[in-house]
Amino acid sequence: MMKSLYLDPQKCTGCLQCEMACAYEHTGAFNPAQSRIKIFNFEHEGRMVPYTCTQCAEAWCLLACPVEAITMDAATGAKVVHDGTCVGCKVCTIACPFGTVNYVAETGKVQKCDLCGGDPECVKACPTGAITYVDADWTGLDRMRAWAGRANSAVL
Amino acid sequence: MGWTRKVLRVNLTTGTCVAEPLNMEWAQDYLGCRGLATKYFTTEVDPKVDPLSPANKMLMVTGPLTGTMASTGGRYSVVTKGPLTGAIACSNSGGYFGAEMKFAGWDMIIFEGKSPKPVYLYVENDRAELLDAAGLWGKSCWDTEETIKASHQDPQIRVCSIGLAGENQVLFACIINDLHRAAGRSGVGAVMGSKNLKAVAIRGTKGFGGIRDFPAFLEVTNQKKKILADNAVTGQGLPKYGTQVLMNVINEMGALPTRNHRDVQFDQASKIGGEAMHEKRPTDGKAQLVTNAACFACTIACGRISKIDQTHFTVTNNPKYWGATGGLEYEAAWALGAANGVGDLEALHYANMLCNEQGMDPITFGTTVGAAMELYELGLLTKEQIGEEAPFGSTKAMAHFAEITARGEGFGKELALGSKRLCAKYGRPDLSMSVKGQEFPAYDGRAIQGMGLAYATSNRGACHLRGYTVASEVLGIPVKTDPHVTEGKAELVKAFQDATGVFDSAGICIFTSFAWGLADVQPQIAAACEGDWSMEKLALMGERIWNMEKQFNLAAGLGKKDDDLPPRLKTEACKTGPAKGLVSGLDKMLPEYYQIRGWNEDGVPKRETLERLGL
Amino acid sequence: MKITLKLHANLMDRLPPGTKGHAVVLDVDDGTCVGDVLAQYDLPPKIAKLVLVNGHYVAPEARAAAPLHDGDHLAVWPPVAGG
Repeated sequence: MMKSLYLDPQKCTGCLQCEMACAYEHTGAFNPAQSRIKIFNFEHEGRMVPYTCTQCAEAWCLLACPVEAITMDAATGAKVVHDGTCVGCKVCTIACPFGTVNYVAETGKVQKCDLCGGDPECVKACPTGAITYVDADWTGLDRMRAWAGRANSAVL
Repeated sequence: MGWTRKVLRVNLTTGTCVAEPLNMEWAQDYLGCRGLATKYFTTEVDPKVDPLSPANKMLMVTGPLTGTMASTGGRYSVVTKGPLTGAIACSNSGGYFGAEMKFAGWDMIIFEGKSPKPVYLYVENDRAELLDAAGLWGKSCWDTEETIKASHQDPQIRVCSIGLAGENQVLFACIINDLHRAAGRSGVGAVMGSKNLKAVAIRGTKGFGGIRDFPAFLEVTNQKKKILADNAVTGQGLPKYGTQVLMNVINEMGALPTRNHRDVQFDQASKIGGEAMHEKRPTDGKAQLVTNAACFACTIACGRISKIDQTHFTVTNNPKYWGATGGLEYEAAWALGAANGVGDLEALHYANMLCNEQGMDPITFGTTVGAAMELYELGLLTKEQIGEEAPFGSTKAMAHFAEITARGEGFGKELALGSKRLCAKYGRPDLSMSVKGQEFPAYDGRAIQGMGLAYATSNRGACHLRGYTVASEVLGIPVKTDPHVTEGKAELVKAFQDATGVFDSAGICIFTSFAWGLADVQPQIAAACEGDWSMEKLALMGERIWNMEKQFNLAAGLGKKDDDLPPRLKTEACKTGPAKGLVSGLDKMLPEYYQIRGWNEDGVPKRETLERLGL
Repeated sequence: MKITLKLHANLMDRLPPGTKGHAVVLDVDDGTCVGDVLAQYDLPPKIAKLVLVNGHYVAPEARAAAPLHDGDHLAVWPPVAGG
């Protein structure tokens, strides 16, 4: 079954454990500056929102790459950057409408969420369940359930 | 491993920033944060230094667990000599600033001297420079952070800064980081202002990889995170209600200092507590509390994010205060509210916002207002002198004072002195509810006897965090003791003070101690740090830190006479509630405390104690 | 006799809907003990961590036999802490 990350801002407290877990997995150090998932603080609204690559089915980044350095991992559906092929042209960073693939000046390659090969570290690190890894076909399930709950009580 | 091993020494007089290696011998004896910086400070600075002079130094320091995946691994401390107290000052803060310092590759930053004109320190990994702060001086902490991020075109910079309070050297000015976290007490912000240092801005992209054994570290920190999650206090109570849940507890047990400690219960306590922050307001149908928030790496998330009622008189014409922002904690709500007899939750949030905006300690500010109100009610301060009526319970006066104190306008200039100097000025020094010049926090020392001792003996002046025996005497953590008795309290206070020294030096938050003991912290430190970090070593370290701070204070001129409580707590009994009739039994507890500390009857550490501790 | 029961923090949910604040006045038989009222509201020691009668602490082991008197205030909290 294909799964995707489900990000629930309501549960995010801004602890950044996910950013550290992601960076550690990919670079071996605690370093939010190298995290592929980022937390955004909308201070005046009192909201914290995690955001990362949504693994587009027809990915702009993949299609834009002139050297085919981005391919799809068939098992997870993730769009993965191959460092060996990537030339650091950054066209993918321009192509992505969501800004979720970014250049890494230190390595000369780009980085993006690769779902950690199917066992995302951010999910394991999140203390509140703001990041979960769910059936890709049913990311709306929780919201449906919430509204279904109202329909049910209305009948009674 | 465990440290970056780099210290940045900033000479503000000459404008130089120089890297130096961390003293690893001291790191092994004092760990980080409070312990490590206090060792550096007490070695380098004359105890008799004037806190607001260029000869004072200010240290910003992280711990080995700062910037790691250990839960709450995001804390930093500010160590200096406190202008409010004339004693050692160590103020701890959460938010994200401390982690960023670590990620930039620095264990500590030492500030010396005084800049000829306002500057801010900009650190970007190895690069550090003092930049002109002419465009920042005069701005609030909020505007300062925004301006720095905009001018560097980098929203990921983390900033700590002083507001008008620090610039005007309000004796209880604090240093705000990440908009609503603070190195709060003892006037550390005034020290920063006296050095013409407006802000410190850090961008760290190196990250921190200096962990001795990564797999072991991740395993043990995950285990310890589970303990926090499963514990009812850290896993449910604190995230939902924050520290504010205590307002009704402490009031019910008759330990809520009210109206400058005249009373120990406040009839409007339930209107200003944690539950009230969840109640929907009749005006807009919304609760003051919007959500909870965490500091860096924190899995507890006790922080409050709140929104004021836009129709409240304090903000109807001031939309800039309508947005969500850091909300009331127990200490702030008590100090701004019960301590002054003010029961208007929105007004308390307003005053708290101003404290965050301009960088003032709400505990000292609120209780200084209470002292002023008592002086007013006694006729020692008049309406003409103050500019308005200021009896206990006056919401308008409290809110107005919050507006003028940071700015140093009118009577605000006098409030800026803190309660000790204010009361002395008007002939009633006994009315300052403080120890060593620092005002009591939200637990009455007569109704909770151990806290009375803890306040009198805290090295930084009256403080609940140095030895939070409330945990035992009120909450039953780890075991329940009777708050009304003095027996066993000397030992209890010493145990809490020493253990706290370890938590305070590791880079983690003291709130983990509601679920963790030293035995839970030790393996996390051991997995991260090189060296032998056994329980015995850590326990001794906590005691060593306490004695080192005490030695500094003694050399600074503080002695037994300063390990005392105001007359009100020793002679005016609690009027109502379960503690009715009680005064502080300090005279019974203090000699025993000195004795078990291995100090003589004047509170001076004996030679054998110092030798045992390696001091 | 009448006693006032105050349930705080998340224990408030156990009070009847529409309760103002977190206090209800209960009519109980003479000789009722603290433990009896707690049992009625399903508040074992693990949940009712802090129990105060008129502000005085009642240890978990003492609750079963601690008698209540007319006009008493029984206040209950889950595990809480602060700073």
